[in-house]
Amino acid sequence: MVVRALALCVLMFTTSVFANHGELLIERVNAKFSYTWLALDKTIKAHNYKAAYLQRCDFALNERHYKSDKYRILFFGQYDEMKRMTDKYPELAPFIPLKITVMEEGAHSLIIATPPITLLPLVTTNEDRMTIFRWNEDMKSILNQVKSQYQ
Amino acid sequence: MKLKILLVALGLPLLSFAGGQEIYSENCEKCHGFSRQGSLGLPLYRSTVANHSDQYLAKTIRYGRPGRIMPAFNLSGAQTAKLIRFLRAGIKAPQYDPTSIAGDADAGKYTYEQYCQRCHGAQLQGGEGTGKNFSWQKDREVSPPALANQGFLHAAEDQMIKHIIMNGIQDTEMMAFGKEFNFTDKMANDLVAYIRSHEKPIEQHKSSAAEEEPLVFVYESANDLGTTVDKLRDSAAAYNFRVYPSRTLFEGLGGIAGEDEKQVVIRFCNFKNMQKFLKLDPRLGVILPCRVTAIEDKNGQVKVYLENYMHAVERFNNEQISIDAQELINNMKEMVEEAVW
Repeated sequence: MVVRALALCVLMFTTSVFANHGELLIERVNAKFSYTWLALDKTIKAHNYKAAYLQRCDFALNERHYKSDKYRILFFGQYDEMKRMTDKYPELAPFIPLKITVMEEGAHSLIIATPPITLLPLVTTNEDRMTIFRWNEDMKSILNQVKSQYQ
Repeated sequence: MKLKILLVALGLPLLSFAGGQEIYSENCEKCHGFSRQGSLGLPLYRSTVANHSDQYLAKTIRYGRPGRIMPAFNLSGAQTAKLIRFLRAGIKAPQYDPTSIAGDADAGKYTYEQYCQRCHGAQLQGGEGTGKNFSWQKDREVSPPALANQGFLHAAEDQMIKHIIMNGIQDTEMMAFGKEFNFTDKMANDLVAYIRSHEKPIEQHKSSAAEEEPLVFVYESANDLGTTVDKLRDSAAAYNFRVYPSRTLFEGLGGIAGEDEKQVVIRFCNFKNMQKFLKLDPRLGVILPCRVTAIEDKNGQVKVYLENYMHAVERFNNEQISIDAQELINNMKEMVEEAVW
């Protein structure tokens, strides 16, 4: 437990020094939308999150000269942890559950997310900062694993 | 000993053993595509890169294109050199004389208005939207670059700009104006002087208005939760949003335990605005749909939480979206203020 906490602290330090927090997390997946969607669903579960619901954003896109209407957002999270965090910090509510956007790009797909680490200013304790940081690492890991399944 | 190991561990991220292809895969392919065919970013064909000097590419990587999606990358000199070598794929780098070109900017303005403005815009602002996108049809396959962008002006040598004006860029819509329209040397020089007249000192970090603002706007409601939710829905409809069925905050996450009806998410969307923003940047889905969250605390006080979307919008590095989104966000704030009154 101590080693894990230490490792996270080191990671937090190195990330804060070397990474640009403001940028969107994006991966290009070498697969059509339907395959990417399936892989994303499985990968989220493998990271111990639960898919809550999906939001389609493809209302009449193909009727409005868009070539593709494959555009969806998947919301996911862990109830106990997110409940604890929003009870303590209600300002986190607009960002809960976490979400990943999937859109089709020809034969490929793009998976995109806002980095949870941008929520750090909303929490005050080191323990809660580490929770946010872990969400961020999980988000990056999910995107990376979905991408690597079709390399 | 332990200190040495710690120092080595902390220093490891500074070292790069990755080759150019790995660096491209890590940083560039998400926008420029697996085969460099372009997507959110412009195509990086060998024939395109063949016109650009190493210095131009290095500065483009380092400074990006402020307000035009392409971010600035903090790569080391060695990483940048490897990436450029990969992009060149064996084609020799052109060498441009770094001295400035003297020309008549006023005459260049006239030439610009006659020949260039149609694609690059009256304010040299470039085409709308992203570089090249497979998801929808556009007027042009590739969005014309913004010539007044400070990232471009800081990176490009005068002689490179002149070379491209006269010879065009293969595999793109940029024509060879020397051959197609008989541009003289003077016309090209004047045009370069006009484009260069838009250059300003580049800002390393431009603080934005959003940085001073909170991440979340919090409103206290004068009503109970049910009334607040009803009024928020009515207010959203009055502001021309289509309102979706409301959800509890943890719906779908925790079974019955997650259905806490004291935490309600009101979701809404203005499809016209959504289409407009998606056309400017298809990544916008990461902040969709618009939502406010109404929460009743243990004392029965209802508060409404609205994300300050300007923080999210600024992550797109898209000046047009930042301008257009401000009005939408102001509407959302007014909408909530009306509902909690």
